[in-house]
Amino acid sequence: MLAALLLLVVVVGTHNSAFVQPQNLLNLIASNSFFGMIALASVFLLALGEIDLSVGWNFNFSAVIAATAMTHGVDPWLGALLGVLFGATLGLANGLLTTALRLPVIIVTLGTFSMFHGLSLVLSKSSAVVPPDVEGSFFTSVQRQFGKVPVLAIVFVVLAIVLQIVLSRTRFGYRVQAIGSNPEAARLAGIPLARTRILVLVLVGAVCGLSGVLSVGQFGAIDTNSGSEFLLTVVAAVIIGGTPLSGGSGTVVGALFGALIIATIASGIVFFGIDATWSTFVTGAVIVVAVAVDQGVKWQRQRRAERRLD
Amino acid sequence: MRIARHIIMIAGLVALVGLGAGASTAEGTPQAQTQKKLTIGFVTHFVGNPFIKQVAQAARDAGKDLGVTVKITGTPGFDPAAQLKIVQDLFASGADGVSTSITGDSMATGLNALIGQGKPIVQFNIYSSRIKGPYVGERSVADWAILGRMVRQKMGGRSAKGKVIIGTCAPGFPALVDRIKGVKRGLGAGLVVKGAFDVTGDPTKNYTAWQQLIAANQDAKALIGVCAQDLENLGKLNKLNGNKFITAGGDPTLGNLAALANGSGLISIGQTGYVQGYLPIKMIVDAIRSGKKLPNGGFIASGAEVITKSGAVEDHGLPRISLATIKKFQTDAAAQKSYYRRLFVGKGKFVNWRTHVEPIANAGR
Repeated sequence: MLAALLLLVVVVGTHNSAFVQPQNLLNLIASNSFFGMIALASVFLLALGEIDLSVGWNFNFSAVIAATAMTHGVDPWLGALLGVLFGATLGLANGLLTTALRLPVIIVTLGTFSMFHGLSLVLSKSSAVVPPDVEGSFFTSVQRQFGKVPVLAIVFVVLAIVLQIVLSRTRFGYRVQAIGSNPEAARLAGIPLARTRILVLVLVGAVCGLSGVLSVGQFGAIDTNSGSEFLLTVVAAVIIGGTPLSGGSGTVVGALFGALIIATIASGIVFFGIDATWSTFVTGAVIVVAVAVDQGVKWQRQRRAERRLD
Repeated sequence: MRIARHIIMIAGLVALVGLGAGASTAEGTPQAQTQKKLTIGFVTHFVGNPFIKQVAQAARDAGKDLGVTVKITGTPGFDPAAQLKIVQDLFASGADGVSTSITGDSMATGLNALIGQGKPIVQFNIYSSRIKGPYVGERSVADWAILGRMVRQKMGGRSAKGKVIIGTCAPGFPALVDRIKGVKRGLGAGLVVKGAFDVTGDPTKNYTAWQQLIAANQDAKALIGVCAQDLENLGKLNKLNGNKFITAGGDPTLGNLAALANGSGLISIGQTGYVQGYLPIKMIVDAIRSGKKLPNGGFIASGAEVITKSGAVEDHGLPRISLATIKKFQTDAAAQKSYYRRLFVGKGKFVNWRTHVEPIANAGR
């Protein structure tokens, strides 16, 4: 995945050196961290063999809750905490519904997708929610840079490392992968299926909330349509990153690179000056090429390993 | 081992960021900027939408007339975060100025940061009053009040009675909320106004949504959609219902013009997309070449087009045109340019555009 990302960066950077300016690359990571963070958490869900369709509106609704609290005089830091907890609560609601109705997550979130959207519109009165004091410490902290490194980029990368450790080094992570690999075997082994699924949905919800409140901190507002386009990009980042749709395994760091590949393609289109009418096609075509490069590298590695065994 | 591999991958990412550390960009002086060929970015929402295509064509025309390169890009839907990133990327790739539609208030902080660095930015089509740059677009409320008044007139004027259904493709979207406000203002008191109902942005779903609204409101007298795809579908449905409804909508798309021509549609309000594409490019180029900064906000009305079966009454003193001529504009870029170009050359209204800047509040009045 890193090879495909490097190739893309080199191609765009060769065309226009401004693209590979450190500040530009760091900004690229920061500004794509909102959907990217959700992709990191979604790896757990895909590793379970499930998909949450409501992530974009969970992001939006949590951000609206946080921003609305701020407009009602709640301290922005507390408002942000409220947003994260609210996101986790929406995830819990998804989890409880999934368990109670004995339905796959995709079916339940097909409904909660619209419920979260609708309730968010009702709460925001169908207009952008703009907190009153966007110069306060919460906002300046989110927008801050350490040297040239934006806080958002740090949060994104740190979250990727933490979640990768959770997935590959903790009992919870092993359980997630075991359930995704073979739910029946996992059940017979005494792994609590329902509780694990609920916990994963709470995790995804909390990260949606975190991403939402960080977006309020970065932009100083939340729009009625923010997050509406996240779903496909999130799933694409996870899959490009190497997590199979069938479940059983996953890579959070891979999803980080998957998100950055999507981000690089979107920026590359601008740097190449590709006309708007062609950009959608080019985006799709480059994703296919990037995945093909990754598959090619994996295939060669596998062949080399097989030769060594022979 | 796996953790170690992941750490190596993260290190690779850090190295990637360091890749360009040695590279440098030369900041042009104002004098150099006036001499080199300027590059202006033009960022739209709804790429491929017929109205947006007309606006983008006008931006291209402006680029040719002014001797600058215009890079047109955007997003397929409404995605403020993606649009903001495109604007940032355009400046990072060397653009001298950018005109963008504002699909959300959340673009304001990022755009204001760029404006603070001296980057010229002009808003078009959809705006945010939080942005410290000028806006070229419609008077959403006032222009759509014209439509409301004409529908009421057709319903019987002062003595009009009955039910009016309003549909929107994006509930809560500020520009459309303003349009609905305008329609309701124009319709006035004494009518039963229902909606706005969500009729969706997808043309196929839009047809079905209107079909269902009609089925549920057979007693309605008028049906009004505030998005570009509404009138075309309303016209088709009205025809199936024996043209018993008064239908109205916005923008001069081919489908809307067909509905007006065959009598299944009453009126379409246009927002003079050509001005929304051409003028922002001219404003940015003028500002860079003259060294005089863009206004710190403000609004220039692109003008309303009142399009009916008998043709279009245009703003800015432009001559009246027939439906056939407007239709020709959709496919003949040269014909469109020759009609609107008079606004930007010689003694044209927008040659000295600074005299037409109004307070931004006027855009939503």
